[in-house]
Amino acid sequence: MKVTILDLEPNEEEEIIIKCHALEEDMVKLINQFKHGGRKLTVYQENGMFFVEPEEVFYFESVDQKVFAYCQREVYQVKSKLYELLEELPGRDFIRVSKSSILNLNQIERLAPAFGGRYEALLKNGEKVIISRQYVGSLKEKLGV
Amino acid sequence: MLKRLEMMVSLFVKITTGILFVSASYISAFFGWEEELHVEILWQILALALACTLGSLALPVDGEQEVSRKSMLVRMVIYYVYVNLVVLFCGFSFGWFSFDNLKQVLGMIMAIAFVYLLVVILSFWQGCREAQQMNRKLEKRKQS
Repeated sequence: MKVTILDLEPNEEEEIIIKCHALEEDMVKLINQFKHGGRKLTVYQENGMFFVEPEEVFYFESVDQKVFAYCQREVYQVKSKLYELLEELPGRDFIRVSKSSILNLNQIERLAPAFGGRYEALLKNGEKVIISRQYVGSLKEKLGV
Repeated sequence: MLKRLEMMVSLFVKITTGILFVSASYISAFFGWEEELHVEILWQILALALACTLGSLALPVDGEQEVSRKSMLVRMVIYYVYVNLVVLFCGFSFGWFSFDNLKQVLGMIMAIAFVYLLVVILSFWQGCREAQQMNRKLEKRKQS
């Protein structure tokens, strides 16, 4: 790929022009990084691509090899895998709670014990997410219990 | 391994407490208040509690491979059957009851169910306490 950097006149606005055949995933991430400082997540719905703040996401869930981000009401598809998301998301707020989901600790209303040593997280939007036994230890550790 | 040991020690304490409680009730009901006991019954109670605890190896502990709700239910049923067999066998061997006396056999089965239920309730209560602790930490997070 050819990279061209041009000098600007003092009164000219800085601008990035991308010339490409198709917008690939990496390119979209790069654009997101330039536009939002890398903080926002690139998510998708049938009607297009969106950018959401990580804190707006209540939890991520992997269903049939696809990862979805569940917000207050909307559900978006995310192109990253769960393990990639864990690296991208702020570690203080997000935690893996089962093989198939990542939970935003700031969106938990309360926790309650569930059958078989699991816990159930009631979220602020009324949804419930199961914290599996395997990940209870790391949740306790993260909360300092 | 440490988690497993922790879980088994905790379970052993709960089972011992349960057996001690039902033994006191069982002996009072079937043999009266004046019955004199030998020291060996204390060791028998501890041995029985240990045997019942060993059966918990069928149950998963925190951090181990996740099991489905159905699998967990099956394991709990298997564990319950195991506890029944162990207690009936040990109880009979220790001379706690006779299979000829139906009331005593039923008393044993009820005692097993009671201890099992007591342990399940105690474990759930422990879970509630831990959840409360975590909820308090979550509240602190929200405030900070």
